[in-house]
Amino acid sequence: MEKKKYKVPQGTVAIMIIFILLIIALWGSAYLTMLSRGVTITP
Amino acid sequence: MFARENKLTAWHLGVAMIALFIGGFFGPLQKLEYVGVNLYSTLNKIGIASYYQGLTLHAVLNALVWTTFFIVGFFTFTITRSLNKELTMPKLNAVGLITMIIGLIMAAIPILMNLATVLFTFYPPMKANPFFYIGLVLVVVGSWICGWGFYLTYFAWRKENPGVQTPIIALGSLITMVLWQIATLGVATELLVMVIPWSFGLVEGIDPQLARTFFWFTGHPLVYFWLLPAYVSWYGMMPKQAGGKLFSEPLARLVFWLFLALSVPVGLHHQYLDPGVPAGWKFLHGLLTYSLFLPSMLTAFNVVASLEIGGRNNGGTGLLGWVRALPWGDPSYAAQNLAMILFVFGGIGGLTNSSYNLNLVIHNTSWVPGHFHLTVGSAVTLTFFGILYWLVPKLSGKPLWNRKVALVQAWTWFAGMLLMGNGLHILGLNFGVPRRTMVGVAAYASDAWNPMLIEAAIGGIILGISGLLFYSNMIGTVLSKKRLEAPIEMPVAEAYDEHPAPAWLDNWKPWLAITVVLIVVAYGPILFDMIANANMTSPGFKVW
Amino acid sequence: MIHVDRSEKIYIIISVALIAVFFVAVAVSSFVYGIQVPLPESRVDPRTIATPAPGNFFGEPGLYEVGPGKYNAYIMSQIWSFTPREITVPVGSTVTFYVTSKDVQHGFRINETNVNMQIVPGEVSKLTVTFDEAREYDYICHEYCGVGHQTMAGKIIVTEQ
Repeated sequence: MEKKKYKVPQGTVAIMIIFILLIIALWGSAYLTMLSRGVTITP
Repeated sequence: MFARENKLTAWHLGVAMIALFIGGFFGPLQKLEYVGVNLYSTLNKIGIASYYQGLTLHAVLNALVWTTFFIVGFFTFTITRSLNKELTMPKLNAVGLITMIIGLIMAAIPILMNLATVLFTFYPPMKANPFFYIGLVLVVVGSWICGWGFYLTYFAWRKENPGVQTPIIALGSLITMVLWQIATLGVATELLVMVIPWSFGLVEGIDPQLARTFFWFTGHPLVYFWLLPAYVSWYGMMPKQAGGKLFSEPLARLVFWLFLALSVPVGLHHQYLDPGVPAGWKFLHGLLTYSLFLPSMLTAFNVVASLEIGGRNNGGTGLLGWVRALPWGDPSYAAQNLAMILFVFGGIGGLTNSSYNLNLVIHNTSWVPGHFHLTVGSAVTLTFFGILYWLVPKLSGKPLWNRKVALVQAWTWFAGMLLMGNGLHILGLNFGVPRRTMVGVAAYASDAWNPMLIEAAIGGIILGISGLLFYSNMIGTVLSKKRLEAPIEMPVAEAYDEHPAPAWLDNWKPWLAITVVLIVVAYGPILFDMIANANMTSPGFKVW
Repeated sequence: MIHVDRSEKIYIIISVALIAVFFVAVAVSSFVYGIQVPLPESRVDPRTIATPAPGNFFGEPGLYEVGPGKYNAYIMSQIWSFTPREITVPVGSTVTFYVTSKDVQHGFRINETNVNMQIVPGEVSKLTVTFDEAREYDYICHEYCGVGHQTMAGKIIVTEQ
C-alpha cells in the first residue's frame, strides 16, 4: 500500500537529531553543575 | 467469548482507578503546602494526621496500586485478545485478583490508621504495623498468581499453534509479567525474611543497608514494569490508531527482551550514595544501567517512525508536516502522544540519575519526584488514560461520555506535568531542595526557591483539575444510557517491514538464561557478602 | 539477523557513541578528578555509637582539627536533629564529614556543594569538601525520617581568615 513511498523516515531522523542535541544539552548542564561544585575526596 | 476476561479486566481497572482517585487527591495538597497553603489541619478532621501520612497514601496508592492493578487488568485483556484465546484457568486469575484486593485492604487499614506512615519505600528501621507489610506481600503474590494464569494460557496457545510467532502485543505483555515476577523476588525476600519477623518482634534487629539493597533489587525493574505496558500500546496499538504501521517489528521485540535481561541487574544505581556498597559494584551497575540506554533509544526512533508512516498515510507532507496530520482529535491518541513528549524529559532525567557521581547533585532532591512524575506520572499514567479512553467504552459497551473533555484532560495533564516537572527539577538541581519534605515550613527554606515552588504549585493545581476531568469522563461513560453503535476492537498495528523477526526473538530460553546470568553476576557476590556480614543491629522506630 | 533501516543504523551508532562519551566523562570525573560518591568507611553499632568512649568520635561529635586547614567533622544524626547543629571553619578549610545515625535512616547534604550522602544506621558515610568562600552553608536531612523531618538541619559558618 504505502510501501516504499518514502525510503528514509526523514521526519523521524530530524526529530531524533533534536532529541540527541537535547540529551547533550540537559545532561551536559547537570554534569557542568557537578564539576563546578568541587571534589569530594581528600586531595 | 471473553466474557470472563472482560469482567476480570474491569475489576482490575476499577480498583486501579479508585486507588488513583484517593492517592491523586493528595498531590495538589502537597504542592499547595510548598507555597505555604497548609490544608492538612483541615484534613485532621477526616483522620489524616500529617503531611507524611497523606504522602504515604499518595505514593502507595499511585505508584503501587494504580499501576499494578491497571497493568494486570490490561494484560488480562491484551494477552487473551492478542492470542485470540480465553484464559485456560480463569479461576486462577480470579484467585489472583481476590488476593490482590485482600492485600490492598490489609495494607490500607494501617496506613489510614496512621500506623504505617513510612512512605512507599518503608525503609527500615522505621517500623510500621506488620499488616501493612503483609498486605503489600499479598498484592504482589496476587499479581504473581494472575501472571501464572497468563503463562498457562500462553503454553496452551503455543501447543495449539506450533511455529507461529507470538504476536507482539502478547509477547510484550508476557515479558513484562515475567520481568515483574523475577524483580519482585527482592522485595519479597526483604519483607518475608527480614521485615515481617522483625515487625512482629520475633527478631530484635535488622540491617537497614541490606534491606535497602533488597528493596532496590525490585525498585528499578519496577519502573520498567510500569513503563513496558505503555510500550505495548506505543508499539502494538498506537501505529494503528495513527493510521500507520509498526516501523520495525523485530526491533520492537528485541527491545522487550533487552528490558527483561537488563532491568534487574542495575538496582544499585539507586544506592550510589549509600555508605555500605563498594565502588566497583556501584560502577558495574552504572555501566549496566547505561546499557538500558540502547533499548530506550531504539524505542524513540521506532515509535516516531511508525507515527510518521501514519501521518504520511493521512496526507501529511514535508519534513515535519506529517505531525499535524496525526489524529490529534482522538483523545486516546492525543493523550499517548503527549505522554511520549513528556517522556523525552523523563528519559533524559533518568540518564542523569543513572550517571554515578551526578547523583551528588540530585540524589533525594525534588529533582527525583520531578523526574518520576514525568515517567510514571506522565509517560505511564497519561498513556494509561489514553488506553482507558478506548478500553472503558469497549468493556462497558458505551461510548466515551465526552471526547472534548477527554482532549482537554490530556492537554491539561501535559501542561500541569510540564510546569510541575520543570519546577521540581530546577529546585533540586540548583538549590538542593529535599524531596518528600514539608518544604513550606522547613527552617532552611530560602526565598530564592519561591518562583519554582509557585510554578510547581500551579502545575499541581492544573493536574488536580485534569484528574477531575478524567474521573468525570469515566463516571459519565459508565453511567451513560447510550450504547455503542459499532463494537470497539483492540487496535492492533501491522508490521511495516516485510522481513519477519528471526526465531531467536520468539524464544524464551536464551533470554531467560541471559537474565539469570546477569543477575547472578551483578548481585550474587555483593549480596552474598552483605548477607554473610549482616549487621542485624537496628531496633524498630515509630517516628510519626 | 534483524533487518535494520540504514538511517536507523546510523542513529544507533551515534547513540552508542554518545553513551560511551558520557560513561568516560563520568569515570574520569569520579575516579581521576575526585568527585567521588560515598564509599564504605566503617561499620558501627547504632545502639552504642552515641555513647562516649575512648576513640569513639561519635560519642563527642564535633569538629576535630587534623592538620593545618584540615578538619574532620563527626556528625551524629537522630530524629530530628544533627549534633552539632553548627560548625565554624576558616575559609579555605578542607573538611571531611563522617556522619552516622543512631536511629532511623537520614540524609546529609551541604547545599551548593557535592556533599550528599545517605545516612544508614550501622554505617558511616564520609565525604570531603573544601570551603573556598566565606559564607554560610546549610546542611539538611534529605531522607524522610518522621514527622519532624523538615526541621532537621544545621549550619556551617565559613569565616574570613
